[in-house]
Amino acid sequence: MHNDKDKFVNITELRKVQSEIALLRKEIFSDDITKTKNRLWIYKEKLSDNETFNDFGFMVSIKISDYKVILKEYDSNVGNRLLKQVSDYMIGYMKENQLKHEIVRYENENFFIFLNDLNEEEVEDSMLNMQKSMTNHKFKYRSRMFMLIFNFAVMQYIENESFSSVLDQLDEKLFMNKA
Amino acid sequence: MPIRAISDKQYKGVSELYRKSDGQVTGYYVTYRDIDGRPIKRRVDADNRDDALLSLSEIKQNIDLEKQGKAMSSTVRKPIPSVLKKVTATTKPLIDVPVNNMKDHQKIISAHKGIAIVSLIDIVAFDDINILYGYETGVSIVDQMQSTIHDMLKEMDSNGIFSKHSVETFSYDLFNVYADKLCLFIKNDFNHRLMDLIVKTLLTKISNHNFIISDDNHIHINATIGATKAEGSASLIFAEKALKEAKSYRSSYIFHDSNATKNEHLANNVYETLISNIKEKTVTPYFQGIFASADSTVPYKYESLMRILDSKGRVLSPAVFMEKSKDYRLYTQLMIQMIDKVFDVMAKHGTAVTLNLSYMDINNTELCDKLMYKVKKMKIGKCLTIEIVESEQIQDIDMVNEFIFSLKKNGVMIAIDDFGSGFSNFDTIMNLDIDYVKLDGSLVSKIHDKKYRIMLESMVKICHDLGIKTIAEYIYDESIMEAAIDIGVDYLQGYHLHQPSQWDSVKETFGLGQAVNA
Repeated sequence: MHNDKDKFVNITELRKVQSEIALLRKEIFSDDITKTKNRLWIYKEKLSDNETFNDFGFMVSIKISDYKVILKEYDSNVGNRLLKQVSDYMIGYMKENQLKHEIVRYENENFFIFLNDLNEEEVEDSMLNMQKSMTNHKFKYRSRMFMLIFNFAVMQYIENESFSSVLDQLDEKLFMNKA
Repeated sequence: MPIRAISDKQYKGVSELYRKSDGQVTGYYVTYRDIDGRPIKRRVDADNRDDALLSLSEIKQNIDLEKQGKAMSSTVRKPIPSVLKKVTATTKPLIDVPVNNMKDHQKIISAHKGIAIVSLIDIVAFDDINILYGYETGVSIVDQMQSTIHDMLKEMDSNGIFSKHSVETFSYDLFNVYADKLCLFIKNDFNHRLMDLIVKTLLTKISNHNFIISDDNHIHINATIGATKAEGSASLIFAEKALKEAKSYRSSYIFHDSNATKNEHLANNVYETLISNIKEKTVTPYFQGIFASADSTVPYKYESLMRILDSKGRVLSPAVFMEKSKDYRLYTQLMIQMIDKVFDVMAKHGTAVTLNLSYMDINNTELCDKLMYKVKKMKIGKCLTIEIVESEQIQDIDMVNEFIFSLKKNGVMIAIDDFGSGFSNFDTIMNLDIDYVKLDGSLVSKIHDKKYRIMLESMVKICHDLGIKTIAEYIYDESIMEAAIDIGVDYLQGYHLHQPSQWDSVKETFGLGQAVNA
């Protein structure tokens, strides 16, 4: 009887600890400005110790255009609010279109989206549609209205492929797409 | 050579110039009255009497337009000098033209070199002022508004506000664009915070100002301001967009960031894409299966969804083009193609299909006539369900019911989309004679939350009690599907069961004409 009670207390405590760990993990891997994951999540969850991918799928690099101009004209407060709105827009779009994804804010205005359930054409089409539909959206901060767009590049990655290599290729593709 | 009038009344105002020797017509004269009512007779370049009549009608149209312009300027506003005031700078007018219309204002703004701020100031409910106090008072209010703006800028300058923000000299023009709309064109690159300060001061000044309507009476008015800071000709358009946005959100002020101008090419692409799809007839219906809860293997019917193609043949979703097609007034042409193509599928394969129509569509006579014509001619009403989307916008229930009954007489069934979201509520289903209700996807996606489940279950029960069948969309995975079946939903739709695709692909997936409702 006494053992059962102890066991129950232990299980309850264990669950409590588990939930706290989960919460902590969420906190650690969350970006401080947006609702997305942060770059630590990539290194700890997406990559092996030698910084190669531990799964396969598609990685999309997204850069918000003219973000630096906005920062120069306004300030980082406005810039951060806009980053949050853009990431909310992208998350909302992908949810609406039932795209299973992971979204990460890698640095400044550069986001990565990981998609595992689609083929290359579907990824390209989904991102193109998200890009174009965002041109219809008006982002607002107080009395200011912004039209924001992003450039994107898509790369397939496979298990054991080097993250930095995929990153370089994505940067090159982004540059070419912009040019 | 003599002139003779044509006896046919159709050619009134046209006369023939003919050779007396053989009666051969060598030219045409037209007779009309000019803008001041003086009779004018002049020769026109025409090969026959129809050409001459056409020239006459063009001349008359231009005179009518001129008359309208004259009437507007005499009753609604006074002639406005091109440059009204400058606070400290002494710039010359950029263009020496009389400023009468938007085109002239656009010219002045475009001719300015460098960054400038364009603000459009609109008097809230100006129509009411005209109706209640008359046009003369309306004109006087606009004049007083202009004086208020000039006074405010002078006051800000004398209080050292501009110099405090490192603006030593600045100049501006104030135009009366039309009726109650004023354009404050500041030819400086202000910090956005200084612009906010100007607007805030201006709005306060206007709302506190006593606008005189007679010797012993005054009223208070409010203004809406849309502004932008940009270089070049697009700035007036962006100020218009900002003003439109401010009005639609009932905000007093919206500032449209100038970076938008750089991104405008993407929006323009949408226009070109729309035009190309209309011309090339490439509007493409996609179909998503709707399944009976008891059988999730073969669709009961299909929802038709509009897609268009971009220049590379890639499929674009409605989020990209739908709103823009309405803005550009091209939506009807897309929808007519959609109806044709969906009806072709229904006719060829006997497939039961739902077609989305908004309140705007139901109000569109051309679309409704086309739809009714097709339903009657092809005799496939029994295969069709009209899904009314955005039902919260329905204003005229009687008109919608009239439309619904005319369809029902031909066997068409009616569904309401997004039930439970926003304003698509029980009031709608009480007042419209409908067969299906589609539960809103955002609610269905939260079905595992106890509160949402209770709400959805109640909605399903009420619908069943009213004899209405229910469809749950957003069936994203097995667990959502099971929960939806568990609360008694009749039909299911979602990516877990079937992703929207072109008809050929649907045929491959389910086999030809497998829908069973036809």
